[in-house]
Amino acid sequence: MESAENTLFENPSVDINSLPSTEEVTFNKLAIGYLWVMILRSNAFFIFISVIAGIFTFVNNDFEIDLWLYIVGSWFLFWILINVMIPFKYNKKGYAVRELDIIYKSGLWWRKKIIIPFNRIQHCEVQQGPFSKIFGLRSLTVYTAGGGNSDLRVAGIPEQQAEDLKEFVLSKITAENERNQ
Amino acid sequence: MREISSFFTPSRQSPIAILIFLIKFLRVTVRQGWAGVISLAVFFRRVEFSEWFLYVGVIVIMALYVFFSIYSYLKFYYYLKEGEIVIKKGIFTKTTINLPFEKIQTIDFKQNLIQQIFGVVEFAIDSAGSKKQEVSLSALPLDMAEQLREYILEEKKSLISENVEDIESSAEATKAPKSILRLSVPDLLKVGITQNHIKSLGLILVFFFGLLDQVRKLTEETDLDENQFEETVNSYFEETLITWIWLFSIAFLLFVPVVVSLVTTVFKYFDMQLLLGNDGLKLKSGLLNKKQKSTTLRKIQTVSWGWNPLQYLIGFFTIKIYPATASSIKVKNILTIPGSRAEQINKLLETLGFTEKSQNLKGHRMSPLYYIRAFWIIGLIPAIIIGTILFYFFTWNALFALLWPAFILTESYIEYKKWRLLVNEHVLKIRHGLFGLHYKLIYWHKIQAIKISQSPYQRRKNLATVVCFQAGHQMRIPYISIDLARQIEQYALYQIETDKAGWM
Repeated sequence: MESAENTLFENPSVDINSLPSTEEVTFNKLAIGYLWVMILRSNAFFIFISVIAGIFTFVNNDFEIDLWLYIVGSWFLFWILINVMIPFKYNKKGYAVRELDIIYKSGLWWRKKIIIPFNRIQHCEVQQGPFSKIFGLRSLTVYTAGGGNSDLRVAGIPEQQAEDLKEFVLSKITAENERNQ
Repeated sequence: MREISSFFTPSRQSPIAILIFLIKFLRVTVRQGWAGVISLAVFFRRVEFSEWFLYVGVIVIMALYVFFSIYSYLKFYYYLKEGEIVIKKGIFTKTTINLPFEKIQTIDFKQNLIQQIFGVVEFAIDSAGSKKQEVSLSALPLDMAEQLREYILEEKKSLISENVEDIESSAEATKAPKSILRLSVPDLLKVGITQNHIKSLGLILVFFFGLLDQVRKLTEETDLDENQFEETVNSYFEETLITWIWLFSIAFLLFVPVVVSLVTTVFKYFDMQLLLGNDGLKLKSGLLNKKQKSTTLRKIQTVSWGWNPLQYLIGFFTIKIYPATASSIKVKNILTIPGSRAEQINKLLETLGFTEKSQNLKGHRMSPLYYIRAFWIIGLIPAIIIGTILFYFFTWNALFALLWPAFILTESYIEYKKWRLLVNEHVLKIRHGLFGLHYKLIYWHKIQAIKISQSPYQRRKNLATVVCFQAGHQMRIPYISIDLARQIEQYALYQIETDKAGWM
């Protein structure tokens, strides 16, 4: 059943390697403001946890001071590390719109890339979170049928651009639907 | 039979709906309110109200239920309008639901005992759309329900695919529903036995070991002094009596669940039939609660089949057919056939066009690094960490922790050995399994999104994991070479983007 040659299957009617690859696509970066959104969001989380831990240690202060220093020290080290990583993470995020599909990639350590063809999109939506609002950014979510597993969300797009992109995707969906009928 | 035009004037359901509403109310009360009822009862006991107060309370509540059942029956109207079905209902807040035919995914019939006695069905409509609304009519005479469904599905088809070349036309040429599969009662008994596989087997084993132990004890007690004989016989009888009582109650406790699940299997899947009709596949079953699930052929996303070791012994497979769903897949949407033979699967696959389309499959394995990685990450490293901790408590007995990585290695090696990705230009098929063997089959063009992911380790070794998403279901292809992953992605996108047949 197996053959040594590393092709997907025998006698393909098209040359698979000549099909357009998503590797050659140039990805659009997210707006630089989104880097700040990411930093704000992760620090808000850290501050929240720190305040709760602070209150907790203040209330029952029978901690050994050495142990306490270790914990606080490693906590802050972790905090700094996460912050250092954010720009790299931001750098890895990107989206691309091709003729027939939309692509989103992300992940610094665990890389992932999701591709949805326009003729499989159910609808799309533009949203805005509280941090993104400060920087005038919006996110575009593309929905597929059958629940959230294969939905695609691109955050950090300037407001007008997000609306334009949504209009573009919607027009692509209707065009695809008409083509199929 | 009624005129189709009569469906266009608002009408009520069958009056049996009152009874069904009433039972629904009672069931909800029993399910959610029993704690309240008990606490009320305790309260009354303490305050020492006279008993008639309780009775009056029950009667008042029952009267209210009857009233509301009748009232909601009277307020419930359904009718057809241009291209949609309209439902008006509501006791306190009036709601009108307009459901366009093209949003309708499936129409299922359900029958519980009462509905069966009065010859009515629950008419349940599953719909797509961002605002998911469950629409169901509790009681509709069977013939009317069938007429209505046929009409809606016919209208829907003409609305959606007015000029689309229908790929299913060949299958639809057969007018009368064709039976693909039918389960008899002996089949169901086999299904029942193979279903509570390892669990009940383990229980029975425990029971027999217990019995063996008893027998051994009895034989030991036989070499005794002659003098003591009389005395021992007496105590022996008493002891054995107690032991036997214990044994019987244990046997009872062990076998009752098996018997119960056998009986429920027979009731649940009684006279299961898989039919191929004009509007796709229909799966009927049930003795007291008759159920009917259906899907059009076009909507079918994944077909999976397989067996566990016990099913293998009697040559039975479990088949699952996953139709496209609006929200994420729910168990109730899957057409599950708990027992079928190889030739019946072949018949089904042929009906769905899979047999013809899955010739000349090329096989791919996943990377052997899959089980090596599993051995290190899930097996050895946790075992060493936990082993060193256990060493403080159990000294050298902690070496038993090393059984864990051995287990993981065997398990993931078997998984690696059995796993295959089988591909040709039409379909993707996956074979996998640990004890049993399972297959999953999809068409390339029925994929709706592709995800490629790589962990840092996979990136170093040029490996990737691909997920092919479908409407409500997904196929995961782990630990294949990045080159193969890219080919899958490129070919899938090509197939989807040039697809004209439609995927749901």
